[in-house]
Amino acid sequence: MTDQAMNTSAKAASIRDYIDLMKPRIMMLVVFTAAAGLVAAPVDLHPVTSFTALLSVALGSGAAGAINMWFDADIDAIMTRTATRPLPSGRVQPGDALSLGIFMSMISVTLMTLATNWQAGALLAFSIFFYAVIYTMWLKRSTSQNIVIGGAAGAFPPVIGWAAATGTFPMEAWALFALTFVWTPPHFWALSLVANKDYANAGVPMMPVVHGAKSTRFQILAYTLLLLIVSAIPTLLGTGGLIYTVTAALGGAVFLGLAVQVFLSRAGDADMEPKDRKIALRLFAFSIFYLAALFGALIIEHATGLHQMLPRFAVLAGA
Amino acid sequence: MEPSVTEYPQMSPEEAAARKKRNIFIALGLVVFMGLVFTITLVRIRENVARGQDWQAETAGQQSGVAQSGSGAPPVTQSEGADE
Repeated sequence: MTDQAMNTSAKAASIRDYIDLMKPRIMMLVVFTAAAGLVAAPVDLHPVTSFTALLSVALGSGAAGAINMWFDADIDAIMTRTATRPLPSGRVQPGDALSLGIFMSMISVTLMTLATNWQAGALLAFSIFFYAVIYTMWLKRSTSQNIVIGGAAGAFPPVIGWAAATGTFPMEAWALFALTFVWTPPHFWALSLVANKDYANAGVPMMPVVHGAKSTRFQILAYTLLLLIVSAIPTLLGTGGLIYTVTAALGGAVFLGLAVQVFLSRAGDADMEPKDRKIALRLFAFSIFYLAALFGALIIEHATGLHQMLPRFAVLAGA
Repeated sequence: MEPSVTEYPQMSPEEAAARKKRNIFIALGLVVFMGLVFTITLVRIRENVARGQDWQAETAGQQSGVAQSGSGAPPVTQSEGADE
């Protein structure tokens, strides 16, 4: 390594840069949804086992994020939103990011398997592979459906949490998977409407770049309607009780209202005004709150036992 | 012929401090990992011992029940835990 390279690699690489490599905000949401799966499963885990399972999910999420940043450093450097990330800004060397990602992947899967069972460990390994390889290396640069299919990677954590507790993957866990899976397109496309020029410059075939803003706004609305239906499944299966049902209904109504506003706006168009941009960003921000509220309701209900005390609407339980 | 001299890059005090900080975090991470694996092992051993005792008690109960009823039917055991 030359002096110059040494200076570039170590000049400003701090612990904060390595934490940023792991995409901490995504990690928090991933751990939260995994916790919901863990708590909602009908088996009580030892606190140490629960902690280790969630730590493993956090490490796995961070590992996938680091590998994603390593592979996407070239397009991150082009896009305004991502140009200041540790790799494009030169604060962390690509090899360091890849090493961190691979090492943490192995640690997370090992910990999960040791602490819980091989089923949870295998699904965690698959979800890391799905995000780092299937989504990042293949789908993201090749199809406008990248977010739709790639959304599965972010939807696995509640199933992993459930598997960690029980060693099984029942219908109730896949209902939580479906919730996050269908939530991802309207969530991410709301942001990509605002950042579509960035994606076009970087050559990433996001929906607004390939099919235009109007089609994207329509698909956001369509996926939001589908989300309202899917959000009722945990209620019908008995996983969600009264608190979840009310949260899903109220949150869904607001989500739909914001999606209609985006549909009627000119967000993503060339002549987009600041108010259109604001409408799209409002939907993006609310979608994060919506998902956190739904999984938070599940956690509260199951952690306190309220899902058994309050009325339930489980017409599909045992199906 | 002049002897070859290996040149090492010189780090500034800031770079050395940053490297030291990273090394401390890696060391702490390893200690936490070891502690976690040790604790997980203890928890799993305790769980498996408790499960074994439950199974023994259940088997003993069934055998005494069979002896009392005199039916001669073999005891039925139920395996628990998907990964055991």
